Amino acid sequence: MDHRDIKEASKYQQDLERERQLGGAVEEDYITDEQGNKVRMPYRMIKEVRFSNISQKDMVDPQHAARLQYRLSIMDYIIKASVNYARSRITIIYNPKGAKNRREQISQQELIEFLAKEGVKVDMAQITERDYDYVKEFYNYAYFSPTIREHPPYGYTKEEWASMKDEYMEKNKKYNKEKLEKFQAWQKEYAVSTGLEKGTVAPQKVSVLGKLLGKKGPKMKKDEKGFWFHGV
Amino acid sequence: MPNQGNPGAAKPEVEVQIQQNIVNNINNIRPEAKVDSKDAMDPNLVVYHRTMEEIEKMPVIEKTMTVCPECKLIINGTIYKDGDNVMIRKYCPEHNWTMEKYWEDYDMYMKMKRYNYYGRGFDNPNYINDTKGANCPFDCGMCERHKSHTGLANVVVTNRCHLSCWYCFFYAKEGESIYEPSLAEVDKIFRNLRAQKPIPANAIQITGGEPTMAPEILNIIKSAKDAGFDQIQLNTTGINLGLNPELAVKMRHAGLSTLYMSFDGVSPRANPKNHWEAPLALNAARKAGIGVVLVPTVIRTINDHELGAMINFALNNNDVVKAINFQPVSLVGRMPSRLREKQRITIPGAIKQIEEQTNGVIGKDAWFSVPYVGGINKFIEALTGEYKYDLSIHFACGAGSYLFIDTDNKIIPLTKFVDAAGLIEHLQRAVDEMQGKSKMSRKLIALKAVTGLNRYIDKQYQPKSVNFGKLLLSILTKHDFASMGKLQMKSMFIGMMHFQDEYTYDIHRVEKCDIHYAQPNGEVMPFCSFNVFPEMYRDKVQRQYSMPATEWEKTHPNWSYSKDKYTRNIKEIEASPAYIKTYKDMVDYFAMPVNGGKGLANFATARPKIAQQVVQNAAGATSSVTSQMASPIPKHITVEEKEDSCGCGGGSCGCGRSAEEKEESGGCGCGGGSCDC
Repeated sequence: MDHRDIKEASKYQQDLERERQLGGAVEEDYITDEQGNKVRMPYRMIKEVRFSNISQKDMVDPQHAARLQYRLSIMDYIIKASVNYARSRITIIYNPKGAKNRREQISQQELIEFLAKEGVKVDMAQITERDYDYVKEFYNYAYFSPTIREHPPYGYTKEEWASMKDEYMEKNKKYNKEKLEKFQAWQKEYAVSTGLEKGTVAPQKVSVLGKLLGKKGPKMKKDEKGFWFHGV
Repeated sequence: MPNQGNPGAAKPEVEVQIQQNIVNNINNIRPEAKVDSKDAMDPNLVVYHRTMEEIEKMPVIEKTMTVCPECKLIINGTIYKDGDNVMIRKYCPEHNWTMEKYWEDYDMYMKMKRYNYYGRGFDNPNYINDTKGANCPFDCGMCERHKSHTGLANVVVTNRCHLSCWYCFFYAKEGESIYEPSLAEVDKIFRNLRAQKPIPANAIQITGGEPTMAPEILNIIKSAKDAGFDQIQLNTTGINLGLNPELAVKMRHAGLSTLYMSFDGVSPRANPKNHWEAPLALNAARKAGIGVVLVPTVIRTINDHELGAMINFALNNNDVVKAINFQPVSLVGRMPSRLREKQRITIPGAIKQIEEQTNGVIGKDAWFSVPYVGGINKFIEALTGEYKYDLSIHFACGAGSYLFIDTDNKIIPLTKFVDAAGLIEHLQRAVDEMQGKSKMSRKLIALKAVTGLNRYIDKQYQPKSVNFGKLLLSILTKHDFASMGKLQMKSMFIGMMHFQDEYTYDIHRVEKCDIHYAQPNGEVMPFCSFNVFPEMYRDKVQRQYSMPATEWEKTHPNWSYSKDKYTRNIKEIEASPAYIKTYKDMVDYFAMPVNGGKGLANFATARPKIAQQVVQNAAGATSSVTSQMASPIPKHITVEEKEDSCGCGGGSCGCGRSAEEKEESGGCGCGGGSCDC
């Protein structure tokens, strides 16, 4: 099925339309993706703040740093938090006050206060903040993540794999195409046999000898229908 | 060892009751917790009530990293042996000690451990973190350090459910926002999973809430098929399909392969969720040609006494039930320690119950850990140079076996006639030999390996109806999905999958997880991060992509939470032919002499009401129903057939009569009941 068909078929899209008419939705909640579909997007332009030069003493140890990350991450206005004990820094992607969305928001000052409560003093001279495009930098990265390395199949080195890869990709493509065609053929037959669609099921092949003996084609065995057990 | 505090000081009331020197905070016993002296003596619970001195003397098996269930501090965990049990202990400087059962069988733990191996993870991870895994499991997304690719991808299509089960954590309650992604969003998730490298996800589970409540469910299945998934499962109660069999046909047509159906017991008491509708759902699946996997959540003291009965139920419906996958309960969220200790059951705990309840037919030896299959995958990959599905999960996460039924209704687990360990070692040797060799040499090595496989199959014990060597050869040479399907067709898979909770949490396990959730924000999460820390992953992200309840109500004017809920008419369903047939015709396989001859302990409780029901609702059929219920002969074999098929010729029959005597008296006279054959 083509993406455009999906869009047409979606009752949810109709819901969105109705929602818009009712005035319940904010346009910022949706974006149109590359296929022309409206998809819900909780954030657009938000902020990323980095607190560097944090005292390792304040973070206690790597385990406490991880817990601080957990405590930051469970808050609705923080999209991602990273507490790096080894590099003495905390990076937070958050939904700033005044951002154009309906989600919970927090200011940088409130973040600093929260960290203070957790025993982490921020070096005010070592704060860098920038605009963060949630769609481009987070959402699109997750959906179209780049390849960062390559594992060869078991029993092969990277060099061996490099020479085999193209052939494999080609074969795989062919296999997937054939698989889909096979499914579609089955689907057609199934639709007719179950009455979902009108038509006739292709007759089963019978050998000449079979025809002479009056055979009408192989019957589906009881056990073949699904799960097969002998003697039962 | 870190500071242990002063264990004896804080809770004298508890101390008095469970004797001297007990660490007061073991398993976070609350001060008000009353400890029943009977509980402390219960062999199942005794491991929870040792002194720290005793615990420290226990042999350590390995060290791991875990989290404090209270404050989520990452702490060291020690896996140790306590008698037959494998336990995990952890110490949080703020919340003291926690002990929990990790595995209830030391020997099995060591046996399963042999198959552990690291998989390959992702070559294109959805999230890069800058802490290099130091903050695991709070850095999931999926990160580049993860050790397994997606084996089964869960995609939530709605959080609405028509039931409100007490132990379920995953449905929208009154006033909560509704998460129901659009078809376009779901399709995007599917394509993302199929784009994973090096091995794209190939099996998907459409889940919820109750996924059949998503209005776009048919298009969602179609979309999954179009994206290229071979195995499409629907995680459902089966109720909507049972009541609307036409929907099942449409779903099959759209590409659905399997119903992954909750089934917590045979009796209504153990399975109040869908005891009544399960027969209707099975019928719908039969009609549509959809395979069913029964999925019991196993809770000690709640339904662990019906494990054998559930297997028996699956065997009775083997024309449609392909597998039964037990899930020992994951005690997520805070719960009183007494209750937790009582309800905790692990994989070996459930396996032992199955052994007891099936007369030892499905014994401990029948099971192998999931990564065992890795040996076969590696062999095929090394031979063909093509990526194959890599089930590299942690050995403690899952176990499985295949059951075959022979011509005489004897139930034979795979390991009865296959030397599973030897077979894998044999294949591993071939893999090692293949390294660095040419394509032709690899084929020759494989040929040699394949011809040697018969050594590991004991044909004497192999089911008469199955040529396992041939089946295995087909898997190893054709190495496609269909060959694996053939094995499934000739057997029934029984599986165990134990998801973690904060008490048993082991980071070494979660980093190898291959059951993943795909989130609407593009991230992919291991099951045990997604569900154990919902406040950070599941609930948080779903809230971001949900509609607030008020907004949902506006756009769905006729909708309300209560209207979503299902109300059953028990009397009506109990009178239905499908219900009566399913439960009345059920045969106790384990009561047959070939399978130990001792009836299932709770077999009767699953059926007694039916006889009365039949009297009330189907008077005409009463006598035949009652007589069939009393008969131990399978529904598939008439008495005449049984006498014919007995075939013992007086030799192996336990009645002691000679063949001549039998001939004279017209048979051995056991009537098919006591004959040992």
